[in-house]
Amino acid sequence: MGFNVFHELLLKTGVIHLTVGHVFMWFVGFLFIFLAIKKDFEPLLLVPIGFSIFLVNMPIAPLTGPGELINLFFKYGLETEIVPCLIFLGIGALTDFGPMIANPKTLLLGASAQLGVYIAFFGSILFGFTLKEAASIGIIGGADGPTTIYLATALAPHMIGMVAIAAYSYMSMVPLIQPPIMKLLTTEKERKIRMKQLRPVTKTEKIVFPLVATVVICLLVPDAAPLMGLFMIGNLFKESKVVDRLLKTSQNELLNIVTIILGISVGATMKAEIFLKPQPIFIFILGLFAFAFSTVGGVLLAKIMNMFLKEKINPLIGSAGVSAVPMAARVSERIGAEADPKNHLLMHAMGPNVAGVIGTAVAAGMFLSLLK
Amino acid sequence: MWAEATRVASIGFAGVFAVLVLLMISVKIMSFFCRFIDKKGGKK
Repeated sequence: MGFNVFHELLLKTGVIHLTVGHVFMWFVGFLFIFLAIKKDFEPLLLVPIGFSIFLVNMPIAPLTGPGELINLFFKYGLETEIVPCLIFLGIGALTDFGPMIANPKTLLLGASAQLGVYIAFFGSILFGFTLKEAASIGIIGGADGPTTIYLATALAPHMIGMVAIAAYSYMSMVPLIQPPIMKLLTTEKERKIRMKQLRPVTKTEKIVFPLVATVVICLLVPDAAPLMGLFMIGNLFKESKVVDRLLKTSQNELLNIVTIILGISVGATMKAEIFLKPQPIFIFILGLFAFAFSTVGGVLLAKIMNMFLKEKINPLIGSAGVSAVPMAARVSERIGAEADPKNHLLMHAMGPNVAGVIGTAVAAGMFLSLLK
Repeated sequence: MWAEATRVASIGFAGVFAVLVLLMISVKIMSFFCRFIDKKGGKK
């Protein structure tokens, strides 16, 4: 009798269902939390993602089955694509397009820094992924988490967790990945190029820009409209200066709420039975390639542009064409300052940096229109 | 598969460039008119 009760009790617990895979995933979750807390790697995302990995690897816990808590977050937040789009609203409300409006040439750097997206796309096919999966992996090269999730949700929903984690991991490693490539591709003389101070941008220009950008992008790439539309609404909240309440909500509460839902939902896709396969390793390798080649694309186009421009641009700002805002721009500033401590590139690099966000969203829109 | 991949990548990358080049031109035109309007408004 006593043994039967104990046996029945044991069956109701998760202990008996625990596998080595679950425990391994606890370590993965712990690693993310450690990197977030100790190394300050994208803490706003890695803390919820890390804890969610822990949580979903508790055997038989009712979390991810149909109608269960995290499944509902995923179903209504990610599958409907509401969460990545709302994150874009918040990012738009935080973005200053001034440096890009002052120097629109930097939009080209945002385009060329999508090179890695397409190189990784081919690489993924070489590794045996389908076209839709390859597109979801390639977009990691754009270094934009919400766009990566948006595209993966539409094209390869089974890979959301892996590509999102690869994207956010590499975004947090921008200061480690980009500098060697930037130094390899530029000479000391090029790194010392000083750029003319940017002209001041008027309030009218800043207000009209989101409208112009919406017309151009949404007419040409309708599939990018959900992301770009909300990005530009958020920016109009900021620049109009008449909707302070909406602006504050977009920048703070709303962005924070959707970030929590995003982090928990993404982490929940990292179950042992899904993650412990060779596929995630390939995705991480390909993601690194994507990121590296995007940096190469940005720097090389800046060098090519210098062949034709009277006023030279410092090629280091090309690497900021990957979207990771503002980290990539800070890397340009740092490497520029190493060559010439009095040379400040940060504001110049913010132009390609925000152009990169647009470029990645357009690249995602192009993939959707061609593959959906 | 490879032919389709090449088609997607070439159209995609060219598309990204085309959109951003058009956006660059639009921004230049927008800036010209905005500054023109601001200047006129300032004179009044």
